[in-house]
Amino acid sequence: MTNVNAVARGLSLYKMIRRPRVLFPWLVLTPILVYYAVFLIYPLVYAVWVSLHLWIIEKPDSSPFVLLQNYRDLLLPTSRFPAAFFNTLKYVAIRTVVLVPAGLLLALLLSRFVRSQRFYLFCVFAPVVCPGAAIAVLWTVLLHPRFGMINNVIMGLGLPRQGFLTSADQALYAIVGVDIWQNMGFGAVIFLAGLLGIPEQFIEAARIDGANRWQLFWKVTLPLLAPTTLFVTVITLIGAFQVFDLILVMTDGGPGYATYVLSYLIYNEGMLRNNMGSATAIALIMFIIIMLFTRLEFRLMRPRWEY
Amino acid sequence: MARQMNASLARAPWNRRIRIGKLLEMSLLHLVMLAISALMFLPFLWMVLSSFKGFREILSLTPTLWPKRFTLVNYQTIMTQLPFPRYFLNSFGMATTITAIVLFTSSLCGYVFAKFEFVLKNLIFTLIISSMMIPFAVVVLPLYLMIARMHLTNNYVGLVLPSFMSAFGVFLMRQFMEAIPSELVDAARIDGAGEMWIYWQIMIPLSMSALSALGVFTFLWSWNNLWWPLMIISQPAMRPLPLGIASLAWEFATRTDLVVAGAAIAVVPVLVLFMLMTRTIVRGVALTGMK
Repeated sequence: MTNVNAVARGLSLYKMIRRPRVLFPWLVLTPILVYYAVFLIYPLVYAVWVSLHLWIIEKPDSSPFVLLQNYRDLLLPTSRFPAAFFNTLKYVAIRTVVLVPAGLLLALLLSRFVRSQRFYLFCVFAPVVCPGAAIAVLWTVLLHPRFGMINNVIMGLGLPRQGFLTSADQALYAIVGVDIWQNMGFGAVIFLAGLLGIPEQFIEAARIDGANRWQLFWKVTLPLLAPTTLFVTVITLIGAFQVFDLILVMTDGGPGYATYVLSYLIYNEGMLRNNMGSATAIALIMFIIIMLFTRLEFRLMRPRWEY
Repeated sequence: MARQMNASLARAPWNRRIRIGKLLEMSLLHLVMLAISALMFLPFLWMVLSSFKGFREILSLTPTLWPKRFTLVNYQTIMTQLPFPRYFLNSFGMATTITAIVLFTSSLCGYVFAKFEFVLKNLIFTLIISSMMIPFAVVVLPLYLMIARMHLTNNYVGLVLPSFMSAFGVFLMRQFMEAIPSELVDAARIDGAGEMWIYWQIMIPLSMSALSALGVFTFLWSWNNLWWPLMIISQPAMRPLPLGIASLAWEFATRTDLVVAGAAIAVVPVLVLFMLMTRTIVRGVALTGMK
């Protein structure tokens, strides 16, 4: 770990004043660290503090201290937490499991083109750069049960009209679908970069040794993409937990509680129901869950890291 | 090299079968990619075309792709009766401010981490990077409480304040600046240049590609941001564009024509920017994968 003597010597004030090269980094970093302390660390700590109270926004100082009651209340039958929790798990699972292979597949496809690559990349990545609100609005219109284009196409094929966002069964999946549509390009670009980073020699050597396309992919390409895959999976996972724009604009958590996810619940509970204590409790639980998932992720992928 | 070899071999007559095979394969790939691209792009096409359709045509039970009657009335309504130009301006102001500040802080931090040695450097860097892992949802509510207590709601400062630092930006800039030869910096130091001079005259010009990638990234991210403005802003005049579209969708849920036009206004500038800066954006995204 860090040698205390070395730290003390490095932080010596005399050195800093006489040599600008030592002073400069601290000159820059001090405001930066202060900023982080104020806008990142403090909110975290504050969140823990708030979650231990029945927080009253207007008179925060008179909020009753209730220790873990907010957390316990999440397990009440009237609580929306279980619904949101399981919906979130479903959402995260589907989004990650679909987006990561889809991204890889798209990248493999894209890597075969040279001149058309830029055009295809543009089309595939276009939804990624667009505002989530606009995408949500667009798809809400497209998925409309009566006037939406999608239903018109479906009925044109002879299939029955679907409820999509108005159906408690389909709503969550519809939103995941839109999310996947929007973000496919993101994984594709990162995988593409990873693919281009694989040295030609490996591919050539394997080919000379007689490997066919299939073996080439499974035994050479895929293992060499392991760090990229880990990265995409983690990003996709964390992104799945943070979904908010789509839920808010497309369904507002409905119908019923069918599309409630943790992030939306936090917003609803905190801002609309003014229940800051409960909301921050949920947020902290969500934080722990994400941390656990990420650690699990790293632990799973770690053994196949170096090649 | 392998490509040239393959190309010359392929011209040989006994490789004609291979050539036809390759042609078929490429055609198939193109077909698949075109289908996927169509899937990605058609909704946008529909959106833009529909924004020119009248109310009755959009909601007809026999929908069309191309408008039967071209009309600009939706855009007229949006621009005049709803403060969409104002939304645009708000978004633009917010995005440019945040981008400028983030570029400055990230590059300065990146320079410090890349070209200086000091105690606790690695520890601090690791701390900053791990802050990327804190989900926004965890921090929103306390941030809101803080900003509200400072009476900065419905205020441009409150809107912009939490976004001054980007750990991702610091990471990106450090990676890039490490590749810049330290001899340049040392030479300048020997010649008596001040650290800020080195930063401004040497590091910045040499980091232009990373800066532009980060800049476009940050601009797009702040442009598309919905959650924070939603929490902070309640006055319609102060809304940035995504919030404007969302409130449009809420208040005028049945007016599909207006909603679609609003979405089009938000999306088309972004797509135009993307078209102009495709290479920069894609390169920036790819750079993030080089962990």
